[in-house]
Amino acid sequence: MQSAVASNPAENRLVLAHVYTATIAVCLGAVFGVLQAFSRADALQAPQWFDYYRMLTAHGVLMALVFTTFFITGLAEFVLYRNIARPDRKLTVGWIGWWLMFIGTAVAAAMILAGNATVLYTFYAPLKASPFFYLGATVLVLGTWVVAYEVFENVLYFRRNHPGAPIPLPVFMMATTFLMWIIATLGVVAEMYLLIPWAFGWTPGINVLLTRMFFWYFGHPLVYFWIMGAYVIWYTIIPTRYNGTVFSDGLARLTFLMLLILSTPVGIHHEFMEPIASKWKLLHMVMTYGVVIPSFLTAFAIFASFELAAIKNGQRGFIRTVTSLPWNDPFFAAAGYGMLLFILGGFGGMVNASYSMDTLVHNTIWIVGHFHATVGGPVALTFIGATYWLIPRLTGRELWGRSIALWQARLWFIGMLIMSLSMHYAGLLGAPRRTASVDYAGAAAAAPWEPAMLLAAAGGGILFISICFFATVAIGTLFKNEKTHDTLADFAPAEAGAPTPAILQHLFRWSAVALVLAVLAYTGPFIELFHSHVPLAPGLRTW
Amino acid sequence: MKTDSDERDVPLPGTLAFVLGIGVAFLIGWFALFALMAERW
Amino acid sequence: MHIHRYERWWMTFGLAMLVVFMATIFIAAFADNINPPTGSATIEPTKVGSTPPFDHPGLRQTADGNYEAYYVAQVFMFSPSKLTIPLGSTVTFYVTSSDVVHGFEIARTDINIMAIPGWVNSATYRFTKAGTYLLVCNEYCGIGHQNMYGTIEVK
Repeated sequence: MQSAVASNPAENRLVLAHVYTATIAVCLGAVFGVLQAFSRADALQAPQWFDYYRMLTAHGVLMALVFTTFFITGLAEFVLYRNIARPDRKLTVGWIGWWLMFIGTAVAAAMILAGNATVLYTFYAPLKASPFFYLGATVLVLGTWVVAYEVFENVLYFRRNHPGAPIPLPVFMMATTFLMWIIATLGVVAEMYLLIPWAFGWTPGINVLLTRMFFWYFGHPLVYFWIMGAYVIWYTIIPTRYNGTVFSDGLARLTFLMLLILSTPVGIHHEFMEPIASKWKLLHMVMTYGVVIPSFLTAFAIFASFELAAIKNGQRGFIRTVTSLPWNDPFFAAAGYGMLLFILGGFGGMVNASYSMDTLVHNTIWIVGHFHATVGGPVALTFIGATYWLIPRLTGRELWGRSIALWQARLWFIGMLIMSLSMHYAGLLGAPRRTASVDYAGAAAAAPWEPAMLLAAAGGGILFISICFFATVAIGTLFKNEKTHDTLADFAPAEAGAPTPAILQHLFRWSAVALVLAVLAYTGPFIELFHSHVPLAPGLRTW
Repeated sequence: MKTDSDERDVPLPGTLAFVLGIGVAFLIGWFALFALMAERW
Repeated sequence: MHIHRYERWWMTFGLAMLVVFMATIFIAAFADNINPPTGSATIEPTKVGSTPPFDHPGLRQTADGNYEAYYVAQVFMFSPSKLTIPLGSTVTFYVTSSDVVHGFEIARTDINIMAIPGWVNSATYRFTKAGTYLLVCNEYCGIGHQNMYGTIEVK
């Protein structure tokens, strides 16, 4: 196990650019979120100059596309810089990546805030936003491709300088994540290729179902992009908080390879209620069940790491293992609460993926509960907790407000649990999603929805306090400016065991498998769609 | 099928309980919702 | 690569669970015809109002106890906005949109159909419980999305 790579101020500045952008995005997104929660509970009326749907678009984009993406690209660079010693590393490419991401985000955000892109973060056609919204989003994606290039280039550097050596596990994980990301974003870029000329008025209409297929080809691996970012932290960084290890290096790599090949050929499980032939929906359901497997492996691996560390400390059994974990460490606590929420999130995901069972929950507020128990809980908490770990290592400043940070994690867990559970429940009662209110002129069927929304708003209120705590810790740390000596980044060593099989190291070969699977899963649906000669739909601005 | 290296496996009862517990909870929850769907069909 | 014995047990259990879930869904689909909506035809979205049968949306009897219901979803209403159905009938819903994507969800039933411009989408339901059902749009369609609903009276 190599010793930790030294902290380099120039590299730190680049990573911080990503982390700061992500932090601002999550804080702003959270403010919008709590306002929405109160609006749906009829406790607040959004003003006309910033209506509910504009706010919802901003919230979704900031949380699901800006916070997550910037954090993962920043973390990827951090992982590269602190695992691959490279004295002459050039950061030009990295900075180009950040600037493209930032400019794209700023342009798209300006369109959203101006009310020219109230299309929500899924921007479904034929809702037609300003072409600059789509352009901005495309530039954000292109920026991530530049960061992906940086990841791959550093991997190749490592291979040249350490022939035959396995790529360090965190780097391997980031490389597979970005390989998957490239394959996934091909879909959204294809969609933009159709949407942008149409948004400019150069083409008369759009094939709505085609754009949706492209979107969800991208949209499902998008969530795996998020979860893989969290898994990198759970597998390789969190164990350092309890003197633990990676339970099985080989299985961890296998898990990420499975995620690489199975994240994309599943997207039609988001389109079960659309006019697509049943056989494709069933195929995608089966493939989706396949991608559950690496998460089952992860559940075992993470707890096994906990238990091995506990045994080494003389603690045996389930309860002693759990209680011996560092629940007073804000970083561990945040990630640990995230893992607990993922049990709810994973369960919901399996229901959503189950073809006919999706009729119970599709486009109800259950779905919103589901993704708050996945990206909103496990991923967000893990990233926020990791921020507590990253800031000292990137700025040389001691984290200020440890107990505030700890309460931030606890309140987020409690708030998200309350909000997500009430949404799951209301969804089963039929409450739709994406609505500014649930009153429906006092209809009897809608009567049970409002109390559930009140409970969700209570959860949202607790989450708002939590984000205030997070902002307090962030600002306090920067202002207090107390020096820390904790600038090195340790990554967990692997348990001694058999060497990793060589077949798991061939990243680019596995990427080819991933691309082939994605193409195979979509060939049938796309061919049928082309043969159906669907009339095009004109664009509309319905807000 | 027991392999030689199984002898070296550190017993991890907590982990087994954790994952099987999740598995059983998922089974119960999934079938409860399947029944709800079938009842509404 | 060695896999811990307990992990082999867990993966066996987990895989078996996934197989059981899939088998249940496949059996429900092929033996009981439990499937999500299927597209039945394409349609010109700008001409929905003049394309039969959507030029006269509403309920049509096809046989004893069997009906077809033709619905047009548009911003921000369903046509027809009110429908009355005899208790015990089996109704096949045919839904299309004349503008953007809408959702067609009859709360507390399994009817959950995406209304996509260019397509007619369809699902069937048997109404065995009397009452007033709320039909809501569950896909964002614009500023009036929360006011887009209809009622179905079953008696």
